[in-house]
Formats: sequence, C-alpha cells, structure tokens
Amino acid sequence: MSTPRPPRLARALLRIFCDAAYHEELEGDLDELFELNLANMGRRRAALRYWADVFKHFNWFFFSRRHSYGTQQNAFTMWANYFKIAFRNLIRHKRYAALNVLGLGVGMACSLLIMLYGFHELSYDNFHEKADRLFVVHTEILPGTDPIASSPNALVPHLIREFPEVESGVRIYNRGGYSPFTVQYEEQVYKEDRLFHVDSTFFNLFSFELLRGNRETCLTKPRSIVLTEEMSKKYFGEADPMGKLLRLDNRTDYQVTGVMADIPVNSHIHFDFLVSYASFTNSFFREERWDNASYTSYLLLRPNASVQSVEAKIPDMVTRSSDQEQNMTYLLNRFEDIHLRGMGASFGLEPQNEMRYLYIFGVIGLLILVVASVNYTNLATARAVHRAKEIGMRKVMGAYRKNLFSQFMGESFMVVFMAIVVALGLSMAALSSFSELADRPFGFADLLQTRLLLSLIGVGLIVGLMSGIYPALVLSGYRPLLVLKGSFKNSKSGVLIRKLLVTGQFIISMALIIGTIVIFNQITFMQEKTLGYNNKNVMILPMSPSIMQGYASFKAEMLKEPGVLDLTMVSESPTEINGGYSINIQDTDLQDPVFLAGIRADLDFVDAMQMDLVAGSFFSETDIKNVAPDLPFKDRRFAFVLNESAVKQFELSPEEVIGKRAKMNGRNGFIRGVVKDFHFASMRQKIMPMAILPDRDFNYLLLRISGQQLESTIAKVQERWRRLAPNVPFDYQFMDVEYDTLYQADQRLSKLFGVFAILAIFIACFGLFGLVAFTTAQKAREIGVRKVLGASVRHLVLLLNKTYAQLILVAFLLAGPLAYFLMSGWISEFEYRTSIGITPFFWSLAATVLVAFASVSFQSLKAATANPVNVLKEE
Amino acid sequence: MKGTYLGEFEELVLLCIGILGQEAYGVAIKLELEKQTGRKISIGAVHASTNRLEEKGYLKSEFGSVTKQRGGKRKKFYFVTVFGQKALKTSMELRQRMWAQVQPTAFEVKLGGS
Repeated sequence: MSTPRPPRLARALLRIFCDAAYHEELEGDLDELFELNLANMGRRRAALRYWADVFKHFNWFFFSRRHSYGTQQNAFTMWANYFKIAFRNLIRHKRYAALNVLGLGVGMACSLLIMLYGFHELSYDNFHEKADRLFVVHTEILPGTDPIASSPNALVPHLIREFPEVESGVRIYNRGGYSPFTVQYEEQVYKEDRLFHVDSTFFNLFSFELLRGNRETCLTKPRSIVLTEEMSKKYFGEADPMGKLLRLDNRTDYQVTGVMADIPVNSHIHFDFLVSYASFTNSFFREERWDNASYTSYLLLRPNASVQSVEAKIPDMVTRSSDQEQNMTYLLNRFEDIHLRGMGASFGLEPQNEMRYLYIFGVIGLLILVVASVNYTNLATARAVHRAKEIGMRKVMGAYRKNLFSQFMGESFMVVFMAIVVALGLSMAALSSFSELADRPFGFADLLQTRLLLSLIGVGLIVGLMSGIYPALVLSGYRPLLVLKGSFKNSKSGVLIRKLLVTGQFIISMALIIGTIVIFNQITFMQEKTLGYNNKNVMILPMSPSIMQGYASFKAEMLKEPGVLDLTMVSESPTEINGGYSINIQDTDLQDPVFLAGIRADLDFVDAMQMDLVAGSFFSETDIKNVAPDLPFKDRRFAFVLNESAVKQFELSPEEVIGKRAKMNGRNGFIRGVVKDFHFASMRQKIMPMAILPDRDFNYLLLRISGQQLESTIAKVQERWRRLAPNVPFDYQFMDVEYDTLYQADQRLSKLFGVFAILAIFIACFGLFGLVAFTTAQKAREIGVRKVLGASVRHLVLLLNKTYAQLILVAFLLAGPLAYFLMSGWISEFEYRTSIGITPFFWSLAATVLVAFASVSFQSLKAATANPVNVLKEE
Repeated sequence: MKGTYLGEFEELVLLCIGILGQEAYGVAIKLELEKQTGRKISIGAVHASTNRLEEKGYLKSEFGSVTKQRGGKRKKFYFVTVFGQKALKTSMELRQRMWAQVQPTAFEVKLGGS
C-alpha cells in the first residue's frame, strides 16, 4: 500500500484560493505537517487536520492577492479594461446606446408584465390547503354537449352517504346570481347580489380564513349568515357584528355567526355573504331533487381515492336513487383546473380564464423580445467597423479569440442589464394601465416579488445570450492583418444576415398588426350586427315584490315621464338567456323533448324590445289571466312563444306550429306565436332554440328611454323611481353595455394585440433607424460622388430607400399568408363572423411602410442634402 | 508609528525564529512554538504571522533547495532582520523598565479580604 496522501480536494481548493506567491511554502508546510500527524494520530485525523488548516488559510490575507505577479491578476485587469471600453463606447455613441437600451427595455418590460399576469393566473386557488383532493362536478346534460358547472342538489348528499371515497362535499346555490336582493341593518339598506347558500361543510373544504366564529358550526343553524370583513364594515362600521341580525329581502332576519377575511383576488369564487343551506324554507330547495341542476357541487375525496372509480359509480347510484329516467353525465374535474382549464363549462360561478390566452400572451411577449434582441444584434454587427481597429490591436497585443468573445458577450450583458433597470421603471409606470387592461388589481408589491425579479434576470440572461452571441462570434473572428491594413468593410454575408433579421422583425410586426385589425373587425361586427332586437338606451333595473304588487299604477306613472318610451318585466336580460328547459309538442314526428333556453316576460316584451313576430301573436291579457299566481299550478294554461330555431327542430313551418298543444317542464299549454330569431348569447354560438314563457315571476324591469338628453332623462327617471319604489335601490345598467361585456375577453385580446403590435413596430423601427444611420454614414462618399455627377436629391433618397422597400415587401409576402392562416383559425370559432378581407393586409402594409419610411427617409434625406464637399474634401 | 507595534504572538514568533537560527521554516516554527509555550498552535496562525512580520520588515525569507521531502516543495526559511532585532530589544527593554518600576507592595499576595 502506498503512503497516504493529503486529501486531494483540499489541495485543489488551496491551489484555487491561495495566492500563487504563497502557494509553494504553504503546500510544502501542510504536506510536512500531514506526514507528521500521520505518524502521531492516524490517517483520518491527519486528513481532518489538513482540511482544517486549509480552511484556516482562507483569511483575508491570502485572498487579497496583493503580492501577485501571476496571470490571474491580468485577467482581472483585462475585465476592468473591457468594461471601461464598453462604457466609453456607450457614452460616445449616446444615440446608439439609447436605441439599444430603450428597445431592449421596452421589450423586457412587456415580458415582465406578461410574466406578472401569467404567474397571477397560475396562482389561482392555490391557497386552499386541500386543493389537491378537491373536485368540482360538471354536468353533461346530453351526451356530447358542453358540460355545465352545475348539478342537482341530490348529488352531494347521496355521494357523501353512499361513497366511502368521498370525505365531504358542499353545495353552493348562487342566490345573488339569480336575482339581487336587499340586505338591511337598522337604517341601512343595500342591494346585494353576491350571496351563496352553502352547506355547513363549506369551511371543511375551503381554506377561506374565518376571523370570527366557529369553522365547524357557523353554518349549521337555519338563518345563520357569515359575511366578509368588507361587508361587516359596510353594515356595522367598527362595531362587532357577531350575533346581530341582518334582514334579507325585507322579510327574514338572519343572525351573523361569522366574519371572514376578504376573499383573495386569486380565488375562482367571490362572494360577500354565506347563508346556511338549512335556511331554505321552500321544499323545492330542501328536498333532494334530481331534476333541477342549479347548484355548484364541490367534493373532497379521501387521500388516494380514485376519481375514475368514483365517476364510474355515479350513474348506477343515480339510477338507484331517482325514479326518473336520467341521461345526465356527471364529471369530476380537478379543483386546480377550474380557473385555466375549466373545459369550456359554462354557467360556473364566475367567468374563468383560458390557458390558451396565457399561451397567446406568452408567444406575443416572446416575439417582442425577439424583435428587441434582433435590434441589438443588428446594430452591434453594423457598428463592428468602428471596433475593428480595437479588435485588431488587441489581437496583435496577444488577445485570444476567446478573450474577445467574452469581451463582446460581456458588453451585450452590460446593455441588457441596463435595459433591465429601464424595464423595471417602464413597467412600474405602465402598471396601472396594464392592470386595467388585464382586469386584475396589480400593485407594486406584485411587481417586485422575488420570483418575478428572478425570472426577469433569467429573461435578461437569455436575451443577452441571444442578442450577443452572433456579434461576439463575428467580431472576435476578425483577422488582425485585414482590419489594420486600412479600409475595412463589412462582409457581404454580414449584410445579408442583417437584412434577414430586419425582414424577420417586419414579419412579426406586420403579423401582429394584421391580427389586431382582424380581431377589432370581428368585435365591431358583433357589436354592430343586428341582434334581432334593439338594445340601445335600455336600462335594466331590479324588480321587487313591492313594485310587482302595484305594477299597473307603477307602469302608468313611469310612462308619464316623456323620456320613458317603454317598460316591461323579464326574468333575465335578453343579452344572455340561459337554458334548462325542455319542450314536447303534440302531433309532431319528434318524440324526444327539445332542450331550449327560456325567458319569462310580460305581455309587452316583444314590442318594447322591438322584436319581430313571424307567426301567431304574443301573449294577450287572457294568457296572463290563465297563468295567474292564485290559480293552482295544474289548472294554469300556458301560452308559449318559440323562436324560429326551436320550430325548426320540430320540422314544422312557423304557421303550422301555432296552436299546437305543448308541455314544458310540467307546464301544460300551447304555442301562441313564433318570434324571429334573435341573438341571446355570444356570437360564438349559433342561435339556440328558445321559448318565451308567460309565468308571472320576474327579476328585472327593462326601461327604454329616449336617446336625447340622456343625462337629464336618467335623473328624471331616478326621481320618479325614488317616489314610486322608495325601498328599491336605483341600480341600473344599460343593456348595450351589458352586451359588450360578453366580448370582454376578446376585447382584452384585441387591445393587448394592438398595444404589442405598436410596440413591436416601434422597436423594429428603432433598430432600422440605427441601421440606416450607420449605412448612410458609410455610403456618404458614394452619395457625394453621385451628387457631384448630377444626381438629384429625390433620386438619392429613392436609391437609399429602395433596399428597405424590398425588405418590407418580402416581409409582407411572408407575414400576410402566415397571419391569414392563424387568424382564420381564431375567427372560425365564431358562429357569426365577418370575413377577413383584404383591409387588414392593406393597413398593415401601409402602416409599416409609413413608419419605416419615416425613419429611413429622415436619415437618407440628411445624407442626400449634405454638401458633397464636406465628405469629399478629405483624402 | 503604524506598523511597528509588535503583538505578543508576533514577538514569540520572532524569538522562535531566533532560537531556530538557520532552520526556521513554517513547520519548525510551529513545533518550536508549541514546545516553548505548551499551547496548540495552527500552521495557519504561523503563516499569517510570518507574512505580516515580513511585510513590516522584521523578517526576511529565502527558499531552501529542492529535496525529496515535502513532495518536492521547497522550504521557506525566515531570518530576523536588524530592524526586527531592534523591535525585539525595544520590547524587552520596555518590559524590563516597567518591571523595575513595579511597586513591590502591589504584587504581594494578600491574604484575607481587604
């Protein structure tokens, strides 16, 4: 066995960290000591001592390296020199530096804001401790249809009782969502619409913070109410709300049993009040029913329970426990997927986002970064001529290629990190407008979170690498003899690559412009398309039992106001009519029921909304009497008005269907009329079958006012409203505004596209500006000679612009088809859509040409009008 | 004057180098120090001290010849410079002067409380 040697790693460390001047003495002494110790105390302890001694030498004295005369000090000095040179270069060429830093800064600010948005969206619902075991039930009403996020109230109790895998579950009935109601404490009355009826298990499933009250028992007793801190402040001020009574709908008193912390922004449900499920008095809610899917159901499975097996067992259980035929399918979806992968399920508690939009935003952010990085690459290589002598000199003095490579990479990182500072400043300045655009309440604290800043630095590293690697390779490769000999020009291939990169920038900018215009066109199309009814100047106002009681005189009084044109009552706004009904018509070939949407409306609904009847008539006074609330339900005779799409399902003409007997969700009646198809949902969907029902159960008043002097008319209506319905808040919304909210996501997309398209084209033009400034400077002598020989200014400008015109044309030929392909994919999602046409392409070309020529011509004009003597007199 | 102060440990190192004569290199100094003081002394402390003393001008050093020992690494021998000898003497004289002035009664062992 050879004699043991000192630990190798410790020795290596000593070599790295120890000043070369001391190294020999140290290593010698340590080795000698090691051998000594080896004899005295054995191998292991000797090795330990060696390690300890190495560490003891790592003090300031040996680090400071002031006695060095080795190579390492030179490397340090060289880096100092690189930075000095880089800094001087930036200072000397201020415009060039500003273009670079600003371009990269804008690009990185965009990506920072997009990352902020992305992180926020991905953080949804992550504060629930049991999120990994929570599931939401989606219901497929018919096989193959889009699932909805609501289910019958019998489902959760049955699952808890019969399935050992299900630990707990909660039903949520979004009462506020169906109709707003009043909440009263002493003198204060407000209209509220964010109230849920929930099972007592609510706080077992969700980790919402309860500040006061007991998590287990606060929702067990009937007439218990839990409210958020915000609401507590609103109704009780600083007073303690616990045990106090709140009066709902001027009828029932609820006792406050808990106060919750305000709901985090990144929760997929938001509410102000929770009321115990036991508070329901109506048997319709109390009994477990399978025929009314109005509840959102959440389940908590036991650890390691299989979702598939639970899902598979549900149909059997449903058949066992309900006597009716069931063709609904219940699906369990991961709770964490609700916000971004809600599977297109509609009727959820809150509109959710889509992963797709995050991807789109991510891609756009990436494109902007590419455009900005290309700027740097272009400008750096174009300006290489100015650095050529320096490079040659360095090489003559003994620099290796790798030294120069790291010098130029270092320069690009320096610019990038300056840009990071600019990006932070820019995004802080743009934060409030961005929050508005994204519809999320972002603050500075969100912007400065560690994760985001680290990602920004990561982006900076990637951008620095991406934009710096090509110039660094090119510049470090110059041959010293060639560059020092005299006239040195940029290589042909370099010019070609720059042209390619500029073309790439223009492709991205143009495609973004085309996308913006197409989206904008489609949104305008949807807003301006005839809906089949007139939604201009229609106010939506809440209904209340007191108005209903004296409706005839209320209506007469309201119509006395000259600005009020029409007044009618409905169960929901025609902007969005929900499904849930099914109809059978006798004497038709169709045996199966047709599923349709339904709206309950007063007899002047069709006139007030200016809809057209195709056949038959609308409800008459007699129809209303036949369904009077005092008649027993089975004696009521309902008149139904269908839309054309519903009639088409029965393969009948509108005239044939009039008067036929029909049955709709237990209502016996007949078809009274057929209304022309109108849009009652987003234009993404085809117009579905729909029925208007005469039931006297309304949630909203629709008030059409004259469009002239809108402000004063609203004030007068409000005055009258105060007098006629003093305890109902005058809380109105305009129907066309409500309609626009259907397309909020698309509008957001269009705005974002627009902003980024503009940014992209400006960043690209920054680059172009710098590039042209440089090339015209190089061609100054050529221009001088041409001018002396008689070329006109016009001719010269055209000559200089020609190259860039070609690039734009090539970019357009590539961007056009690309954008057409992508945008026709997007627009085909809409059932009702405008054609893409040629206008987007025309405008993108025009805009790009205009902006590009403005930046090019400024330079070329300056060069062309310069006195040739100035450039030619030298030499 | 800054840099002329002689610490206790530095003084011991200088004296050890004087004791060792021509054979004063790192490990030898360390072993001699341990022998003389009975304390455990790390080689790092010795090196830090010799370097500082050399910087102050109390020591000078030169490498010995290459031998097969120590993995071929040369020993670095230290010698006390004239300046260093002067500093040692100054330090010793200071002490002697002060010892001479010590009141005999102050160092008497007192029995019982005061």
